[in-house]
Amino acid sequence: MMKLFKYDWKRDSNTIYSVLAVLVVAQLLLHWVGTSRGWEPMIKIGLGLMVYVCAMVVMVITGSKAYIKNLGSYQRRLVPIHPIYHILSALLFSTLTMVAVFAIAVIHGLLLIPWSELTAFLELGNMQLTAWDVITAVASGIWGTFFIMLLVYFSITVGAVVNIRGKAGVWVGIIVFIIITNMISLISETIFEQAGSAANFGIVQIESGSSAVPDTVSVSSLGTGLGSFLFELVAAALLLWLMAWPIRKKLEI
Amino acid sequence: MKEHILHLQGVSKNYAGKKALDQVSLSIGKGKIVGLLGTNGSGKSTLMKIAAGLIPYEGNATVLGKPAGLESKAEVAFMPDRPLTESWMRVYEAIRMQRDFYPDFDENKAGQMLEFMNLRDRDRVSTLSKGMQERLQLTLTLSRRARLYLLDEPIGGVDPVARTRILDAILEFYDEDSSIVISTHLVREIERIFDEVLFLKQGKVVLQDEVEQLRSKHGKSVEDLFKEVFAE
Repeated sequence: MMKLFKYDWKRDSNTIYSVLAVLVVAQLLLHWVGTSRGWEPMIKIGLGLMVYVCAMVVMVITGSKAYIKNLGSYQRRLVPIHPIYHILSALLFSTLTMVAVFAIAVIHGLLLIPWSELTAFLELGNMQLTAWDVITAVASGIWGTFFIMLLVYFSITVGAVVNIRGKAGVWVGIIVFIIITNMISLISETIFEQAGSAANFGIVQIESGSSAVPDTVSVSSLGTGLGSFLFELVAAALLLWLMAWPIRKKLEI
Repeated sequence: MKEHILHLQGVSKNYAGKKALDQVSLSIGKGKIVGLLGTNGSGKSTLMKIAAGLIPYEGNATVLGKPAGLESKAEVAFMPDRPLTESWMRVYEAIRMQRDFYPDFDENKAGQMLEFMNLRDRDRVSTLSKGMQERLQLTLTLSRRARLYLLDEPIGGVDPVARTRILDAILEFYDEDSSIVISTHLVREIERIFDEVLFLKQGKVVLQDEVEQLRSKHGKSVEDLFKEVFAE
């Protein structure tokens, strides 16, 4: 699996490093312009978050394109290993690229955002964070990224299997993604009375009142999210098995 | 009992209702260079992909007794009609990739083949000519210690000099414990290296025999027979 990952990374390393470099430069520019013109902390942080979201979208697209390419690649399909390793390699690739963006965000937060601005931002959402909350939030963020990308790749796989000749597969993939994310979210919510990670990474909970702005944003303890996490773990194993089967038995090349 | 490297029994393949292969049965023994001959669209590439374990099929296909698929992939080295390399690579990186992916990859043999093919380690794959690309793909495939080599149109679209070099390389670096199946419609250029030929027409095997037998039985070259069988 690590050898597959190595060649995925080599193929797209230029794109990834470029996106990360542009991200750093954009954040530095934003910080410099915002500070010199005396922007409100909320505006600076909000714009910064938008740049991070853009970078993540590029990473998702890069990972998805690599996965699609690998599904139709003789070079990859000829390697005598179980298809599950191809999927896991792609998931590792996407998760790591997202973690790289998260890491830049954390360093950004620690180096450039004054503590007063950060606490002002957190107070707006009535967040009360402890160190344990931060650790669980990071862990759930990584797991959530992995799980969301698994859902994306599952949808792509279903689309590719349908897309033997023609372009119907793209639409099938999109529909499958919408159905599967909602289904997992609904099941998780029904069983554990907690929104599933397909919607919001499992542990972060948003409780809103009648207004459009959330009343409180809190990070629940790992204990309350454990059931939901275990459910996602089982769902992930099932999805991996469901993806590997058509790659091995059904997918044309 | 005679050892079959590749054995197909009643193998069929449909693409959106169109039959690409229709009840194909054949056996390929050890130490043979077999020509898989047919016109465009006769099912040659489909048969190769099935033997390489790449696509689903109906019927029974085995490589050394293992069902064609995940179980048999380690025994088969396939050179498809599309490159096994990626555009960002240099020649040495393509060699390293094969070494990383296949435990049976022989780096010494690869080195010898690169020299024979006049390929340089530092050459960029994206800058190689069509002929040099084919030489590299052949090097990557034949440098494995596989039991079955499948070469899909290895001389298609390359100049006569490269063709001769490629055919010489196949003869030079071919391991007699294994078998090679070469698909082509360029019969004249390649028939000198075949032990057996197999004619595929509209997804069906219409002829399979040893080249010497065919020549003595029909008093014709393989190319003349090919023209006769595939005449429209």
